[in-house]
Amino acid sequence: MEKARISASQLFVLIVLFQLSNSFLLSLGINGKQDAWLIILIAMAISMVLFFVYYALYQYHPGILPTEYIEELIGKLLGRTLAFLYILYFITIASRVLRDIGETLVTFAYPETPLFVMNALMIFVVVYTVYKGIENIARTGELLVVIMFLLILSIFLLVVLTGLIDTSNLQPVLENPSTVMKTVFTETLYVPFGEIIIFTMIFSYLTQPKKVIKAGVLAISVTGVILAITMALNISVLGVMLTSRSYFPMLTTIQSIEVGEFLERLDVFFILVLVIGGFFKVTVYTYGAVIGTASLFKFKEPSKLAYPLGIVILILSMIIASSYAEHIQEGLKVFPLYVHIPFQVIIPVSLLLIAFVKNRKK
Amino acid sequence: MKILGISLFMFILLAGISLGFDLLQGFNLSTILKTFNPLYVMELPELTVLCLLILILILRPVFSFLQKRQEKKR
Repeated sequence: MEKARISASQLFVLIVLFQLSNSFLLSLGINGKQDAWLIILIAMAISMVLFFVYYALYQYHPGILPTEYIEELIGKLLGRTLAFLYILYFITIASRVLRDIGETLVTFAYPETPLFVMNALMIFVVVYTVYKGIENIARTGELLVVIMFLLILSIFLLVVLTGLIDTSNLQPVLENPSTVMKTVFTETLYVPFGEIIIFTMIFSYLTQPKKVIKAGVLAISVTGVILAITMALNISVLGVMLTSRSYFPMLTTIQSIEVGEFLERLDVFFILVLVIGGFFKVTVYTYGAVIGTASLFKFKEPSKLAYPLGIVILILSMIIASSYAEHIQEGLKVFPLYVHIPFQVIIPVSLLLIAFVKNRKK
Repeated sequence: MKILGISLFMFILLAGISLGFDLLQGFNLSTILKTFNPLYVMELPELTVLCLLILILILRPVFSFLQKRQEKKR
């Protein structure tokens, strides 16, 4: 573990940027049709319970990394194996997000540029940031969160000013409650909200550990509300059919902005949000993988691992799927069920139960 | 060298898991091998950059290993 400290407000910024990232651009919870915004809000509320579970686990073992306390809880062999699996999980998700960003940029902005170049450029920046440590990541976050909020606010304002919003597209509300709950528990709860499990790797760097809950809950609320507004805007502007068929509904919404016949073609807003958010998500995941590996394999200088793991993430992002369609299919159908649910819900809850029983005996 | 070994081990495991997910979705072997499509379509400049990146990755630990061995001999 490196000797660094971040404040609660920096944790708030990191969680907000991390969760907004590519989720802002995808059609979250669209299986629930016009209730997608409601799905996001419900998932947000339930994810707070998950956050409490992660925080409770940290409170049983303050100041140490999850890779270390897993070992304390379930024994050396099993604990180390589980910690290693978590590191693999972080690397996999980092490479998936990297592929997401690369594919999106290649699809609509740089059709002549190869995917590998896009991913390589992004991973170079990520490797450099991770090499510099968590304090630098947090400070970069403080700078970029302002730009991110300004961009999102201007997108919302311009869409409203264009007069494209048709609220009848959002009706009827809660038409099919069972579909809403099914979508919450099979998709939206895990991406983006459950992904905050990576922050368990960062809790131990906080100067005021007591403020973790406050910062976390506030960040989840802010992100949930922004994402819900975004989906409500997308559906009210494009309608349910177009939103569900579009890979990037936010891009389509932004492209329809036209104020005073001169303010149009604002695709650059989309690129900026995508690159800033995506950069943060990949950085935080890579950082988690790097410090996790360093603690598990007893490396004195975690920064030395940044480049090798960066290259692993880069190559993996290329071979993870043969096409974007397959990549999305895997992300929606396979990953939530076989990867996210065990790593974000089942294992942490089981660990908390074990910690509770062990500490009760004491 | 330890870093290199761990990175390679992780990469092989993750690539295997990625192929395993394809199997889980019911694809046959020939379709699964198409997962490497993005690597097959790479052109010479891209391949050069990729090789260079891997070379840097390998050379650094090898040099430090050799340096340590020489120091030990002295």
